[in-house]
Amino acid sequence: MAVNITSNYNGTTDDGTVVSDSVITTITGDVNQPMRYQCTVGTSAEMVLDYSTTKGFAQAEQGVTSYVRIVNRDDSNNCKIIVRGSGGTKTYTLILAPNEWHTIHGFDMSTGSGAVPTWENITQIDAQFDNAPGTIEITAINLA
Amino acid sequence: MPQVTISNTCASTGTSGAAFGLATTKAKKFKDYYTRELILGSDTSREAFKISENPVYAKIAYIHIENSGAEDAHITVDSGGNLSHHRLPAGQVWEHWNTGFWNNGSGANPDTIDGINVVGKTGITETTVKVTVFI
Repeated sequence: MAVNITSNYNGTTDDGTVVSDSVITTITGDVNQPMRYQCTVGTSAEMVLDYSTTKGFAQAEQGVTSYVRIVNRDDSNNCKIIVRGSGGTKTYTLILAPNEWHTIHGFDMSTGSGAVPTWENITQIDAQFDNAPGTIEITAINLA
Repeated sequence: MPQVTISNTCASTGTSGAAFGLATTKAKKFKDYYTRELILGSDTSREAFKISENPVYAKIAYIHIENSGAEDAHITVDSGGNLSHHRLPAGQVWEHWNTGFWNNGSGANPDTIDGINVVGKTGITETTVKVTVFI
């Protein structure tokens, strides 16, 4: 089952060069090769998870939900990760120290409260380095 | 020797009322760990672990929760009083390095993790998760 992941990378390098790129990666197997993105200072490399396909990354289905593992591949700087839900208002934020990682499942955001809340899809993951350029690595695992 | 105490008040089979002390000389040495298997019932929240008091929670290095059962589980992360909810499908793993910043909405004022609860899916008799905390 194919899953499309669109990576939008926009920023300005230290010498003032404006960088803009958009890459669509289609995963057809169970595990995609790790994708690495260079982030400039203070800007975000946005990982837009496209679930417009029939059975996309974030489609909720018990037992077959796909997920991503995001790794901070920089050796000296922390990276801020911002995870956004499909409702447009919910986010959660975490910091990855050098070479730390975190797993994010496609159906991973609560819209309510209580022991068993209502869920919404993950649609976007942003990565940001505040002090120096750094590299993030994202591995998408498609279990659908 | 400085010590971080990880408590667990889970009432499910074989896990009731115990408290645990894990000794460490420095924060985040990644040399000791606490692990526990929890059985989750329908809609019943279980305390996977709770850090005893500020600032010893900073000694937690890494958290690994594996859903080893056949049904989905839900994870609730408490950070500074904010709750962040996450779904853990059957057979999958939720991992987090406790670098110190996590919340459910404010990137400007993040907090560290104070504790984590897990709960079974509505209508399901039970599923099993294995919780491992490294210090």
